[in-house]
Amino acid sequence: MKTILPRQEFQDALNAVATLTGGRTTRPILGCVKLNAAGEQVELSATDGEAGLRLSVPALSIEKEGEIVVPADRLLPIIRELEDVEISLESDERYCIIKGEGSEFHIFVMDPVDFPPLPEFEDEPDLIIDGNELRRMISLTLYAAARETSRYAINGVLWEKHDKRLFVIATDGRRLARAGGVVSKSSSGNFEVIIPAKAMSVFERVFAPVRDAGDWDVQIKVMPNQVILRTGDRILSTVLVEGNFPKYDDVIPKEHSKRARIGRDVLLGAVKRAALLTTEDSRAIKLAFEEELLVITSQAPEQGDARVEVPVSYEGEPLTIGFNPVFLNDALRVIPFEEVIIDLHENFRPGVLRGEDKNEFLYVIMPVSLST
Amino acid sequence: MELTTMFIDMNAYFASVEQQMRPELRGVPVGVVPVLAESTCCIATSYEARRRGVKTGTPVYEARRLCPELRIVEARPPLYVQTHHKILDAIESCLHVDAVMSIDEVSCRLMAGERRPAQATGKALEVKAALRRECGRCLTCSIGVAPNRLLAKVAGNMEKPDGLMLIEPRDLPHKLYALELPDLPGIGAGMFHRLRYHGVHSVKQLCELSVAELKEIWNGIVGERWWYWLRGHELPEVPTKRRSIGHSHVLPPEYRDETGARAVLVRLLHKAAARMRSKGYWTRRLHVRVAYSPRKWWKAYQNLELCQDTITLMEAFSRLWQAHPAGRPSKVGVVLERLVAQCYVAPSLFTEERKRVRLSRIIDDLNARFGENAVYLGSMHNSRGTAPMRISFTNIPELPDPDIRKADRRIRRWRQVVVTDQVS
Repeated sequence: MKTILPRQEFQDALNAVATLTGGRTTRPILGCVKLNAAGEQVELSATDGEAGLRLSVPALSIEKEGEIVVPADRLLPIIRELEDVEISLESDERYCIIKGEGSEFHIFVMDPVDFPPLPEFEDEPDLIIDGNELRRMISLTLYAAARETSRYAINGVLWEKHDKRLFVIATDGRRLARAGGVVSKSSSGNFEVIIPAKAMSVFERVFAPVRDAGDWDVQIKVMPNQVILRTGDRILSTVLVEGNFPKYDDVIPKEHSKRARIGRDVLLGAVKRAALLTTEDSRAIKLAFEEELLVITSQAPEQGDARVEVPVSYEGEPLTIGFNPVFLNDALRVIPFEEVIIDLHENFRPGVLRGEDKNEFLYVIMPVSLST
Repeated sequence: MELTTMFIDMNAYFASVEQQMRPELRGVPVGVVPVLAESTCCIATSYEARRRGVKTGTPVYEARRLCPELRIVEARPPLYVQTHHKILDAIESCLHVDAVMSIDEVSCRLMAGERRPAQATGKALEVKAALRRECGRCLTCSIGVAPNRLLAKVAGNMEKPDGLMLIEPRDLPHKLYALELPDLPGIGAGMFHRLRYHGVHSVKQLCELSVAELKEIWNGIVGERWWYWLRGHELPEVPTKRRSIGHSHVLPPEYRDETGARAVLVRLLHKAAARMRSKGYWTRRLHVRVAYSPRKWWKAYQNLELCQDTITLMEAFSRLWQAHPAGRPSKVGVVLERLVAQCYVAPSLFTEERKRVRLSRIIDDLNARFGENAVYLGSMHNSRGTAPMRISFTNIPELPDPDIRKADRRIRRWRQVVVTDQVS
């Protein structure tokens, strides 16, 4: 392989695929990126064994086609440090040679035959959805997925297609976030699949062609044990999480007796301020709702306490309820509404944070008891 | 500055309890061991044995060589815990126990009218009499009285057994000069070497150091505390926070294989989980340790979403156990780490998880009512008799109520209830 690439575009692409190579692995090849120079572009691929990402960079020239597998943690810093507009990449059986102005690097390569094959996006997509819409749904839910649990199913994010709508649901057992959006085109029936949170994170961070680049569609292919997403020449594939996602519909409260309306920024600021006097072992704030006033208090044992008052529009009997401020903060910092609605019932029952349209977004949080 | 603290340290505690309960052991050298095996070592020795060179930590074979007539006695932790509570009651009849430091040490705060030397001495003698009367004449204690807890403990150690020593403010610091550095509580082997490295070889030299010098040696604020303690000042106690709950166990020879180690670990995990629930905590990490030799340990942990039930912990343990190396294990341990108090935990949204927690708590309640292992998960069936009660330096196990234990024996005769691990 011998090619010349625009350095910045190559670095951006490398940054994107390297999101899958950083984890600890016993298979060194999973820490590598595969470069395939063919036609007029170089395709970059990486996989962590579960998810795979492929994307292309237009080459300035390809003198010799071919493919190499290079450790990402060696290649990426070199490309970052080079200051050239163009870089030259060439390889033989042992080395990848990177040349810039006055610099030359030789990195040992691995055999491309050993690189795990990534699935192709074949046939027609089952689903097409607006890319910004899908990214919004993932941002609104991903933070609620379990990170550390013995129940693997909730380490993933549930995708539930129901007629013309797609819902994305995540939970860690103590809170649940659900976001919904309308699909542009569907040629499949309803389905439910659980997608690993890591793949969703890769999508959210690096899958969009260019951030805020206007409209872009995502084609989705759902297979029995994997799902493939494609936009342009970018393909993200991932195996599905096995297991049963909890029956989440049962935990969404069907009734409420109290409702608060409050500005998102006002509530986020108040929660952040009150949370300053909590600790990792005492993550709880107390929200006392009255007709026009919300008083948030917190206490850090042996350190002090905080009291924050903010205006609120509240209907119902006064209620004091405890929540983990991290749970509130996680949702408030990503929701796009200017005003949020909080539906409550009792101080030991889950509360619901949402926008005007429940189908667009809702967030169920279990309160903490605060009793000693 | 007044005499504010009385420190009561029971002499040769486990051995004294045995001598009290078994008259044939009185006046003879006694060594208490955790298990009747030649490979173990003495966890307590009577003063008769100490005079022959047999001390805590002496291996049994060495103890027999030093003292051929030594009586080796297997430890009875429940008896020591029971006696501990009798001791507390006896002391409380004289003055309030401010802090239980360990199973054989308590600290009491003297009231305003008890702080002069004569009054404090009278109170100490009253405590000794109450202990003799309520617990038996073999249970002697050394009492130290001083202006703070550290010095009171030092004073108690100055005269053993059955001693009484006061360190008055006017005695400071010269009364401490006769001590060796390791005689001061808190100066272990590491600190001793660090002091020597800084040219401090005696308590007199230690007392002459400035606050800044002490802070440098201790590498922090603790050095400043020592400056004040050595001069008889009382400092507010630093609140301690529980960070983990765990159990470990030296495997008996018949359990030194893969199956045995797993069985004991399962038992320890059940014990630790029940203790965690009883203290009102949830855990975020399970840590498992297996020793294959003094230098070869296998350690593995799994981070968890907040968890309190035994079934989920068992699932996590089973996954960790899959990665254990082959070998002949000698010691095992489990630790539940990153604890969070119940009041800061949101219960699960999902019924199944709440059911698991509820089941674990019901089992705890039944065991509290009817005795240990009246009800247990099926996964513990083969290991329920392993890892009996042990007493660590600072943790005093809880005993079931005596009447409840009778009920437990009755229930045992009728049936043993085994709950399957599966929650349907």
